[in-house]
Amino acid sequence: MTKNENMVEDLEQFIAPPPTENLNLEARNLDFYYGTHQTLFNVSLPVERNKITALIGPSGCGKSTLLRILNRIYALYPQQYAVGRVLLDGKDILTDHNTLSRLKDRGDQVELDPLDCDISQIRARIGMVFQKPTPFPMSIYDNVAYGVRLHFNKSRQEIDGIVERALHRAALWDEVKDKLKDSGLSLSGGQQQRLCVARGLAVEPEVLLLDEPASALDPVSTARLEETLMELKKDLSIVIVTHNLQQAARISDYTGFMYLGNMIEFCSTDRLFARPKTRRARDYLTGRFG
Amino acid sequence: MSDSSLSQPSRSDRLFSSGSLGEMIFRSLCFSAATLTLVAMAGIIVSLTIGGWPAFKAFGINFFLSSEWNPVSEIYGAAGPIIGTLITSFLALLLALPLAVGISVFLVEFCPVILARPIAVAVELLAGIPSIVYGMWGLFVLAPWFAHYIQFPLLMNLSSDSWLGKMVAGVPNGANILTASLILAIMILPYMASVFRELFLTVPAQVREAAYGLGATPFEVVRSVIIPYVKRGLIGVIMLGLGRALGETMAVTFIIGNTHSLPHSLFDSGSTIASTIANEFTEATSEMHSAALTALGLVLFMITFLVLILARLLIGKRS
Repeated sequence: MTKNENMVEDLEQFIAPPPTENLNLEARNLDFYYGTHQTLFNVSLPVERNKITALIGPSGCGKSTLLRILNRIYALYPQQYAVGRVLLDGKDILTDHNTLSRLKDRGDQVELDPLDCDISQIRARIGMVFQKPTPFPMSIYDNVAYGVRLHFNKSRQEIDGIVERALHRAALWDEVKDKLKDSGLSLSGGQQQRLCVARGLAVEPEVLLLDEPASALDPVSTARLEETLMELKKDLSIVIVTHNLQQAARISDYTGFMYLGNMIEFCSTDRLFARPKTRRARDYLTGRFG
Repeated sequence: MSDSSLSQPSRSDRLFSSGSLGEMIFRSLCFSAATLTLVAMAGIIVSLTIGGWPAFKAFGINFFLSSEWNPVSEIYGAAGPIIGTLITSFLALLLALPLAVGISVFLVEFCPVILARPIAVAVELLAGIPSIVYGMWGLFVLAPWFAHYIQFPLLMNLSSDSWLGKMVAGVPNGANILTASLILAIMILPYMASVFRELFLTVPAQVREAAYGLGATPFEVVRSVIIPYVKRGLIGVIMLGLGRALGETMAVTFIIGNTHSLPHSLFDSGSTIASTIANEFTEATSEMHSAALTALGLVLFMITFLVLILARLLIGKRS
């Protein structure tokens, strides 16, 4: 492999993953490229079932990139590609035709065990909520029902029930129950973000990925969103990218600290925040850089 | 301290402080620029109305209903050109719209990166070709080809009594309503496609990604997220395209056949308001003839105006 300016010298890492039998989603030894520019270096991320896993690190460290690999959103852009494995319940989901040859080029001798479903089904099982609220230009009801109609053949009444349940779970129902026919764009920023959570939940994903979901929200909306996530982890696994260290400490069970495209430290949140092992994590958490 | 003492004198020296002479001149220049357009428009309407008034007075409602246009006996009924204008424009829109959507969606969603730029530039260049060039191409290339390979075979093989046969009846010379509509469609296509593309590019990447992230396929994303996202803009562009087709003169004059009767089939020759004016204005020696042509101009102006108002109403309804 050619040397890249982003490669971290004297790579000091500390990885204490959760027990392997409980993993819902797992990224193994991922490299990621924007064209010829490599932005992730041999990153692994275990995601335990029914836990919240937070990703922290300075801007540009690759947190969002890692998240975008997990449901293959990066694949919308032809010049971006990932080399490595992502396993959903032990089955490979990075299985486009170049994956195996790129793995071989890198020197990995692996047999892929592909998950038997296409990319749209994979994305339905691994939901994603973005940094800015992204309501679709349609009614609140249709926003939530959108994914359901794509993937399931349900009757009108069934969809009504699913929409109501999803809005309840995203803690938005009481605020919108009288105006389900209004445009999703008419809601406030915090409500729009919870609408996006509800939209993701309606298709019953196993994993929910959130990319700095609270960065555009005020403190009250943020608190509501955090409550929602704590409630949701009973049913699914959550990966959240955040710039807010307090947020990671408050809500997550595991935290990964990334730096310049490397996973520097990964362990339980209590441990990382109380006794960071690596020098870089220590410096970041104490505010020496960031 | 030293800062403020330095900036104080220069402040009072400013030419454009509010209320000063410079600011007033600037404001009144802007105001007169804006009112100039209103004055010009009012002037056009008034002069067209005055010029066309003899024709409206002489023929009344028959100016719109009768299709007899006879400069020799000084009888002018404009139903032929009016209907011809509406039919060719709407047909052109009907043909161009799906193609324009197809081109722009392909460019934005599916096109390989290395191709996207050249195709987009080519589409924009097409939009810049002068209409006379389209007209020549229509007359020398499209019309003969169309007559030989489409009109003749259809005429030979379809019974003239059948519904379809009636639709394609007409002199097989390629100069007819349908070829005129085709030329118009080709002319408005690049404009619509390039503006559609710009509109689609305004959809935030995160909204697209969110739709794909829910597991939607490209078709589903385009249909239910991208197109609704820019719906208002799309309507505006469609109406502007229609406006362009309504007023297009040279290309249509070349290829529509220029007869003033009501067109009886798609392959019948006809005329539009613009082509009639272009053909006859230099030869309009009698007063009534010029008045009738001026009145036609007013009608075209009104049709275009109505289209724009319709666009405003449609756009306003969605906000």
